[in-house]
Amino acid sequence: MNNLIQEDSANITGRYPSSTISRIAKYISVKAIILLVMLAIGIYLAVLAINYGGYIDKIYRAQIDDALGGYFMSTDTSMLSKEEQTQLYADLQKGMEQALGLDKPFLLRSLRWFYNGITFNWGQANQLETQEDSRDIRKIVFEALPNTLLLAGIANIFVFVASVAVALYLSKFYGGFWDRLVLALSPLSTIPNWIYAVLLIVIFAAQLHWLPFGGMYDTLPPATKLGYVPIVLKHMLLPILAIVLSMFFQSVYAWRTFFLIHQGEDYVEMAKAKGLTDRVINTQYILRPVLPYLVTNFAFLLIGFWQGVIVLEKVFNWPGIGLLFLKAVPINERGVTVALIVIFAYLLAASIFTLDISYALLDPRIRIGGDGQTVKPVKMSRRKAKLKLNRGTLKKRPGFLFTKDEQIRSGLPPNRDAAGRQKIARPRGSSALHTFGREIARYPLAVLGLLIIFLLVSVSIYTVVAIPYQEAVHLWRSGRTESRLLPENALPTWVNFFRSKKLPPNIILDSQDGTAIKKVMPSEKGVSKITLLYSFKYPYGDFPQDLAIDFNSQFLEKRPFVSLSWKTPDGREFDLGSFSVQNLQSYVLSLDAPKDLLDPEKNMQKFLTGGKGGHTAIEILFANPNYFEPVPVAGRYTLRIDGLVFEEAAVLDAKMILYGKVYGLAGTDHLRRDLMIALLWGAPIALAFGFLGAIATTLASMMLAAMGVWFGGWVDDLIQRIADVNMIIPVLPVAIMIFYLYSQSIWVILGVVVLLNVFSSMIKNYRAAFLQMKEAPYIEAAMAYGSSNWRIIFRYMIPRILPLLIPQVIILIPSYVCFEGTLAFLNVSEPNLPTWGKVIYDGIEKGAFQGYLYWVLEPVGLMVLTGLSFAMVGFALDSIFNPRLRKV
Amino acid sequence: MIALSPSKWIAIGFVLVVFGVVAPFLMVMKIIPSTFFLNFLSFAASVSGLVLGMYGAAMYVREHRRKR
Repeated sequence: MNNLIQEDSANITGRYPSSTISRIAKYISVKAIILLVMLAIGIYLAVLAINYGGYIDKIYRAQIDDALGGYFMSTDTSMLSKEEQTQLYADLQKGMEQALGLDKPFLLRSLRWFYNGITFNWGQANQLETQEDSRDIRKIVFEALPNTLLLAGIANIFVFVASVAVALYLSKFYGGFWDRLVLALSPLSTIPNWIYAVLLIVIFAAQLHWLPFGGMYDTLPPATKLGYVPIVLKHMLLPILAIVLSMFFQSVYAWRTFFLIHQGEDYVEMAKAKGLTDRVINTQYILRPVLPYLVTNFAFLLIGFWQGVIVLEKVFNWPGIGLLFLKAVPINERGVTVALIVIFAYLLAASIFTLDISYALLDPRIRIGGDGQTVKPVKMSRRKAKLKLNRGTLKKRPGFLFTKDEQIRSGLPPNRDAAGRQKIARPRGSSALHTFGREIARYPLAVLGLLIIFLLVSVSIYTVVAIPYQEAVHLWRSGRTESRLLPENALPTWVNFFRSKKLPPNIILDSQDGTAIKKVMPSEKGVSKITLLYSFKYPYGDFPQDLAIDFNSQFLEKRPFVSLSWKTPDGREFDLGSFSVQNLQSYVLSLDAPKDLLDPEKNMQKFLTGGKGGHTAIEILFANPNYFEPVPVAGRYTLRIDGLVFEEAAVLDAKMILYGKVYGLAGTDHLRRDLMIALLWGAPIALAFGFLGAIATTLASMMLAAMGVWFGGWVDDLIQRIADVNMIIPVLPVAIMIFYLYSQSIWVILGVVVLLNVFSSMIKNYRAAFLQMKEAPYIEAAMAYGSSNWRIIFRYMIPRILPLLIPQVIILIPSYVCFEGTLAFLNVSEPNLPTWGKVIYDGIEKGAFQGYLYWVLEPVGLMVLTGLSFAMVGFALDSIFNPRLRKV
Repeated sequence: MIALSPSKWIAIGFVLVVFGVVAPFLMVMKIIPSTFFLNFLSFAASVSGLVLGMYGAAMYVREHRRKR
């Protein structure tokens, strides 16, 4: 009561009483100390991971050996004896090892690295440099950090301000068009920001040319320093838009939902009954109670931002700490890696500490009393519980159903509940499915999501059966012989549906399979004349990529001789060269065409003599000579190969490959690989990653939370402290580090990511649910009849929240699907495994934005489709299983 | 706890948020040096500015309600 009076007096005077100030100060101090300890543990663990077992020390020793080898090669040491040279080598080696601290034991080395890390004594980099060519790691890091902070600051303001404003508007006009639209679009937030980044680059940079592809500055520097402002703003527009898009709908959905829930509270109804205006109700009755929630949500957005910034900076080539980390890890820049992990940890800790301070300011429980501690579970002996049970606690709870054992012990008839009422039969089997189907049918988007999931699962099963893993890896491996037959960077065939001038497909004619005409005319002394004719119709509106001929001849001593000629539909003929062929030999027009072919004097084609120049040999073979621009002539073309073989048993065959500009349903990449292989195999990999990750994370989190709550004491404390430390450790950088330092298996990385995610905010949510459950009468009853701890956990506690678990798992799946894509996009994936993320990585690295947009749009589209389908189903299930959400 | 009016809390929050954006911008343009202190000050200013702004808004709502 005194506390309430104090609070009331604070309201009147606008000042807090001294007891409140000391309580807040104590709360913040305790949080700061705990956070510092967690920070130290988190950073030390990261340092251990970076140098576990001295792995990188070995690399450093090898580098010392290389440096010394180079020194002795370049320095004249001939005046020294062999012993003196050996001694000099040993002395130099020892000195360099001491300078790097390699002479110390591993524990001391790791502690030294830890101390140096947290005190910013990061030393010198081996290869990375600042713009001023400095290798001081502090300078390298602090050159990149403001670039990232600039992105973070502006993006967070946009997200926060826009989300709160829109959420308030939507809750006010609940059920309207905009409300339903945002609700329908809310699953879009499951897509990571770098996917939005790719799409934005495609639209605004590649297609419209309004904004730059990436980077931070223009090629030419401005005249004054102020001139940098519009340049930087222009370059940061797309990255900020990507961040805002990825966070906006999630924030709006969550905040609008909470506004609505609080709108339904009695005091809001009372306010409406009093006749208050909507504006007053919104600001005074809805916004204020949800302020702590908004702050929490904002803090998690901040934490999420630091995880995603690495990928975003990679996409936009934004020179921040994320891009620096990606440069540092593959080249074993241990100092830079430690420095960046420390910076990430500090930034995460700063976000969490700000959250704690804001709790102290906003949460009345902290101001009034209790120091913000969570509710302590009541420790009750089994004897006490039994006594409570005997006093009839359970009988006052109608609807409570006994298990089989409890039923026997209770002495009630088998079909009665704890209050002695008749049990209502629950729908089972087909009727349960029917009920579920009826519920899910209320959400058309969820039905659509289920259909897409069914399709994806079917495609995955087909892929695994039709293209076994080894075959897929073989087909995807670059440099294989079959890929020679495919065109390079060919668009998918279906693009011809949208084009007036059709693009040519691949045309392959072979004298061995009968698609070409082969005439053999024997003559004297074992000499035979072989004519190979390759005739084909060409009705297309564009030129093919190139022409290749694969010769396959068999002879003992003397090589066959061939002459190539080309005949166009209008009767013109071109000589493509004459030469003797080996057993297996290839002729490629772009490389082997005779010089005369490109000579304007000899080929009087208008586009050659009067055009812009720079035309290729294939254009000369197909172009209409009467046009100033190269335009292909439609009709029948013929390639003729006249060969002479000089032995009776000699054979001459050849395959003509006219490389088209479209291929298959998915097109090809820069290594002539059919993208369909990666798109098909990407589905089972993404789904397996998503299902395994989501189920393992959710189950493990739930079990640990249940054990922590039930056993309490040090078990609960340990789990909670690990979760606290884990909040300081950035997941994505750790996963990248594991890949480069320990294992290139994506399943090992999945295991690490699951382990890190198990001890996340999820475990705290489950803990809150189990804490309430622990006090439930049926748990007391279970204790009273002597049920074991494990039985209570696994039979009575966990099954109760399993229904809540299903939407959690479904919503978590797209996160893991996208995380696999994110890792592959960062080239953190098994080298030969075809995945969607890897296709996107190749596409962006090898020039997809220069006219090959299909290369990134196809895998991006599939990833978005997969993510959205699970998210749509998950959101609907969340509404079905959570009665509070059902009405909103 | 310093007793400030809600509008002052909001104003302080706004200044901090602006500082959280302007300071990195000045560092990017090399007008001021990039140091650990300045970087974290700007980050802390950006985040705490938003929180203080929200706190100010909450105080304003409460005070406004009391006056009714």
